[in-house]
Amino acid sequence: MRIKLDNMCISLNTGDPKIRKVWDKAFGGCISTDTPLLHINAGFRDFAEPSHKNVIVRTRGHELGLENGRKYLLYKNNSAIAWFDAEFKNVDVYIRDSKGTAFIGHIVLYMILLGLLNQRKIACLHSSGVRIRKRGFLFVGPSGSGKTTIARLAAKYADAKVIHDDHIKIKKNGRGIEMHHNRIIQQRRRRPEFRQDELGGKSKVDAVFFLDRGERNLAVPLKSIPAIFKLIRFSTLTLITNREVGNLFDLYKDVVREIPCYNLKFVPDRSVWDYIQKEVRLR
Amino acid sequence: MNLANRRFCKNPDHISRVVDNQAIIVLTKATLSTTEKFFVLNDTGSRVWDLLDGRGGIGHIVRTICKEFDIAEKKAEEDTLEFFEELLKNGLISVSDN
Repeated sequence: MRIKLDNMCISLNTGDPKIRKVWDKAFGGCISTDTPLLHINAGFRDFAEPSHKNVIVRTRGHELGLENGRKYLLYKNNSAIAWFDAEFKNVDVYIRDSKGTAFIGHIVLYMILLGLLNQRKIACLHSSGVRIRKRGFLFVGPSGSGKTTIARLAAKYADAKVIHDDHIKIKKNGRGIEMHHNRIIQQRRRRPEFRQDELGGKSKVDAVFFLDRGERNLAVPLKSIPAIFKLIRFSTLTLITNREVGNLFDLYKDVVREIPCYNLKFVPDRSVWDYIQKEVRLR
Repeated sequence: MNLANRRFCKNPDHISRVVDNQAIIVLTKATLSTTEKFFVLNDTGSRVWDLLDGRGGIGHIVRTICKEFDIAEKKAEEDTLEFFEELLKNGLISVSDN
């Protein structure tokens, strides 16, 4: 089957009815007839575990590494593995047991699509974003830093539209730097914090904040270079190639040139929004 | 290690860009979950990085730095060698016999 997400067509191939069912459920509404940018071939099959000698990144959920000149993405508990070709045109996915089915339904596609977005110079940033009266605010930070909290406070007290509360897509166009809702990364748990009409859409970005809880609200301007480092650190990368990191670099050079960046210590109540709207210089 | 007669090559797994007249270097194969693999070079360091093309030894770099930054040759050579040791230590360059 061919699917289209974010204007990118991908061919999903499998002979296994179980995998087919997962894909039908996840992407049944996104069928496309375009020429695929990438082919994913998946099946249930045992596989030899990589040697773990050349691990590039290891997270709680997966490991990205290099083996015999090919990059792989190994899912937790070694239940599935994806092998990428050098041109990023074909991905072979082997699933060892039923735990790996989630891998094919979510993780692989998520990583691959982010790789394709990166080729279009679109970044996926671990951040929340809100729009308040045509002003866009982006909040960047790790899990637990308060991204959802600050977005929820904005929706409650500042009449904000929440673009996304965990992963924002960032891109540059003729109008400047924009943030977009991320359809690829569906919210994995329900968000009772937000009404459905509060989530989604896009906005230009007028200020970027790197979050830190504090005793009082305080935004301290951040210089270009540390801001770029932080933006890269909180971006999701797929294969971590020179090209991929270079594309991020180029985008974030524009971000820090055009948009004021701050370290924000904040108190998680409505005062933070009063503070931001009164005290912070925007683009 | 005597570096004076060696040839230097940049680590191929890096990306560098110039921001605010400073070269920023990221080692792409290193994990991006820490800031330890991000490097910022000052203007002299950035120029040396520019001059590192893998073909010449340290001599032509020192001569260029002397001329462009108006530094005595001995001082330039000492500083450049010290800088190269730092680059080597951080995996930004590799060294081979000339």
